[in-house]
Amino acid sequence: MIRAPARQPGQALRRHRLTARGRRQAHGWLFVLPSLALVTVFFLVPLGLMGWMSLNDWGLVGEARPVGLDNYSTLFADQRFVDALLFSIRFAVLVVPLIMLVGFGLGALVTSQRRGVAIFRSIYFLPLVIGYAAASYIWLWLFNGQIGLANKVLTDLGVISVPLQWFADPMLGFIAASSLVIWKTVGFSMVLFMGGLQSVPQDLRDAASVDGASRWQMLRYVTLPLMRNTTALVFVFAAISCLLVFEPFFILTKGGPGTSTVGVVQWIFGTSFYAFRLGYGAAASIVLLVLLLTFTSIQVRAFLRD
Amino acid sequence: MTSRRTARVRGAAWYGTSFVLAVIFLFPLMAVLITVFKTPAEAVAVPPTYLPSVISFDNFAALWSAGAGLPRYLANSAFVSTGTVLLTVVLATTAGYGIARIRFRGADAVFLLLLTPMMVPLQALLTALYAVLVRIGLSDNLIGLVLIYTVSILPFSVFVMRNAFADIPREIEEAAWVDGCGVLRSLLQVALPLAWPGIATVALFAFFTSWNEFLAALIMLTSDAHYTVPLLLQNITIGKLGSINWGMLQVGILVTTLPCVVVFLLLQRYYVRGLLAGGVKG
Amino acid sequence: MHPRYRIFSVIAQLSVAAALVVAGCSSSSTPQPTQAATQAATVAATMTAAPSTATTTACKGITFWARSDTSPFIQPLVDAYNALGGPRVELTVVPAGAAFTQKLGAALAAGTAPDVISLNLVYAPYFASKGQLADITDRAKALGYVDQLNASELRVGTWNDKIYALPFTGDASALFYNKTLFKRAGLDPSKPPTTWAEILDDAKKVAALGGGVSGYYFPGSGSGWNLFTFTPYIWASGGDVLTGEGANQKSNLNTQPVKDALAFYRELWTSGVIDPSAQTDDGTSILTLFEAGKVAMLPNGAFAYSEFKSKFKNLDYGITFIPGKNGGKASFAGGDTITITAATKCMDQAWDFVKWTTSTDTQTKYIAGAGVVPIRPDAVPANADANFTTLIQAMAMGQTPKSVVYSQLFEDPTGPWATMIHESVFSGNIDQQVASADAAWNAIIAAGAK
Repeated sequence: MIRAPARQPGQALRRHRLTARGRRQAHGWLFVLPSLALVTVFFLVPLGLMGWMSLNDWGLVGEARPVGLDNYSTLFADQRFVDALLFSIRFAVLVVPLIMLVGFGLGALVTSQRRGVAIFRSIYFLPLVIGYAAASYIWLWLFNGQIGLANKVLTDLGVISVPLQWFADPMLGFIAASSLVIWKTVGFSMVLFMGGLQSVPQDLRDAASVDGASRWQMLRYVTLPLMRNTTALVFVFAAISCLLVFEPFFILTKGGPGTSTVGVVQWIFGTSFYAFRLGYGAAASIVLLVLLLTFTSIQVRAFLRD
Repeated sequence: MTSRRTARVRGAAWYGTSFVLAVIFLFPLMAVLITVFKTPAEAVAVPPTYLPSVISFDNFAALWSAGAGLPRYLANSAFVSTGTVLLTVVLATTAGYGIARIRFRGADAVFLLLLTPMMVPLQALLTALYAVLVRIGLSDNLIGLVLIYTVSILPFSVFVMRNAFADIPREIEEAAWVDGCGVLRSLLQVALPLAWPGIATVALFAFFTSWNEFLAALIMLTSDAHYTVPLLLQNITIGKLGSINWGMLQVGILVTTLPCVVVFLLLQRYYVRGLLAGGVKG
Repeated sequence: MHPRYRIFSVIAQLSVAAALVVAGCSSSSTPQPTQAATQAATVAATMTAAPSTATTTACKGITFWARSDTSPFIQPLVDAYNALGGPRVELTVVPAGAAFTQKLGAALAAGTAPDVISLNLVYAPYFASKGQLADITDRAKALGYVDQLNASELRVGTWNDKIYALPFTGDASALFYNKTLFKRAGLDPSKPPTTWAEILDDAKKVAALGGGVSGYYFPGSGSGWNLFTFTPYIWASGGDVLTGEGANQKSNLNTQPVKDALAFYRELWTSGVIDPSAQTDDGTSILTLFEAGKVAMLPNGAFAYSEFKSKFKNLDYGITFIPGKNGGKASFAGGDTITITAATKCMDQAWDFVKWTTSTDTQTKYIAGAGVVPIRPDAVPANADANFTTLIQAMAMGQTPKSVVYSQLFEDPTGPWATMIHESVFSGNIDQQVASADAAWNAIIAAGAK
């Protein structure tokens, strides 16, 4: 909206008069400046340092040896890195839809006005409140073959007769880790979907039901389209957190059996913390960043049109 | 009459589903709550027992007196988390407002830039980040941690606040502008009250993330007096070559979770208030 | 421009400039250890006993890092030293594990490393080879008792014939066995097994008792744990996993003793005497079953001795040496070395502390007295029980692999060592596993020697 500032009679025209648009520019930049400054110093600068590290062969201590783009070319030929990346992608593809579905369902459930809804809402949100590592250790304990309650409950319910070794099998380990990730993060999606559902104006819903829309049609043609922003938000965050999943697999399966459940972040961790090849690990992180940046910018462009 | 019965069936279905889900969600935490009161021996019994046979406070006592004492670490963690919440709310609100409302040229690029910190895993960035902090003189300093945590939670927070402000109809604000309201006043008096759920969300996540974070705290803090609670827990629960003291682990989880639950219960009033205010008509 | 906006734009430009300045254009002063300032007041001229008076540097205090494994006994030790007067030692307990080396490395790179470190002995070669540790050869030799200190730890703390780290605490591996279960199975609790065949036999007898009881246990997914407890079987049979040192180092995995040891473990597994949860245990639950009295034999470490003494007094167990195939015995000599960083500004004071920690008096009172294996034979308390005595003997004859790529070879849970053991024991293709691990090790060693 462009509006020229009102001129009072007698007020001289200033030499450097800013249009309303120019004023908006200045304001806009001003408002984002503090955040930009912080991100520059505490992210962009270390990132630049990491970029430099990726062009070197550098152990934890000692001298760095410049190797140009060697780290990057080695990376793409490194089967274990590619496997780890594919594993993270597979995990995300499987788990993100689950998170969104369960999150949406829970969100719809807790937007009701019934008595007690606040308690339920708090319970579903509670897992978010614990640290990821702590939650992983709880799961490690619950699914322990000997002292874990998961086996005990399943045995008592008659589902199994012999205790399962959850982390000895890639499939069972995957299930255990996925259940952890969903339990831990779905409250987040629920809360976001809640906000999105609330923002759908009641008048529109009333109008649609007057027109004879079924619940399913209302969902599909009224509610969901109006929740694009929220859905995009949930999707982006769920996808990124699943792609960067670390603690669940690191603590539960340790990447095993063998290397069947090693994700890309655990691979980077191993390269940096066990092999001390920080330059190489930095290159992998940069590659990961580029991939995620591409992914996010596509989402942002596609979904967030105001 | 059918509609009344349908309503009752629906009500029952709602309560039934919600209850079953609640039991599933609470189970892991309840299990921890019960186990903290078991003796070290019973905590690792095979097969496990459901309820403790003898109530024991051994683990609590050990936790309280570990290192420089639990209160010290709790104070450090509280300082870091509060600082992170305050800084994050201020920065995310201003940035989100700027991007959503003031459609200046380059807003989209700035938005994307502010999202990038979440795309680099912290483990990878840590060594470089530590080098930068040392240079600035903020290593082994809780304020340094506050700044790092803020940067890591900023992407999510800016996204949420941007969405929160974008959801407010322009007409409301334009009305304010017509009335001669400056941008800042418009933000504070018009937009902000409508964005409470967003602020509550941002505050909650900033608190939880900073309260529970371990790795950055480990690398950045070198003196015991500055340690936060997750470091203490790691020290006392993970023993030789990774063997775990299960009893201490349960107590540690309980102690760290409690403040988060309190904060959550406090803040969710604002959340609900914002939602029940009815959002937006038309 | 409207004055209001001009002010804003000026502020904006200043903030950007400030951010750039802060981001690295300035040269900030090297951060002093924050502890040093508080130490200033406590520097006293009166020295009563041990600490030497040789120093004239303006050193206000020493920073000392120890890993969390040492927390039961490290604070009293430091307090005792500080009570003697002189420059204060400021202790920081750091969580043990992979993160410790990362933290140390980051600190070394940024110049904020501590003066003295209680360093897991297996990391000493790496940091010594990178020039991060101070050369204390002359000072150590001047002590006159350096050859009384644990030989294996000293060897690992030596690089290119120079001493960089001294032994500080001991931790040996040995075979723990549950005497109650032995008696129930009709075995003589004073005659633990001395060969592999005897272990297998005894394990079968105990497993026959039923009731969820198993004869043997080990962490099937473990990496560091198996280095600690499985390698001695190879050593006691006359073999080794590595040969040579430094540039001459080579993998020795593709040899008969290694294959025999793996076959032995495989046999234990296929006989059903090991609890199934061993398959996924990486060490997190290794003590759990033994503490619950459900395991007859467990290769374990000396650290468990003090743990059991305080928390599991009712456990009636014995300790014996890890045997070779047909007899013999071996142990992994582990523990912490104590070392001074090369960048320290408090060399004399740091050395004074280090020297004090290796003295007979300190070792007897604060190490052995806390139930931790000391690193010199004259530090054994008079009232040491049979179990503790066995551990001390195990430590004295113990061995330690020495490699700059130790972490990658032995600690990586997805690395060749862990995979080789896991696959050989639970799937059985030993020859193939050994060959591929051998090749992977040589590749790692070659890459690390560059």
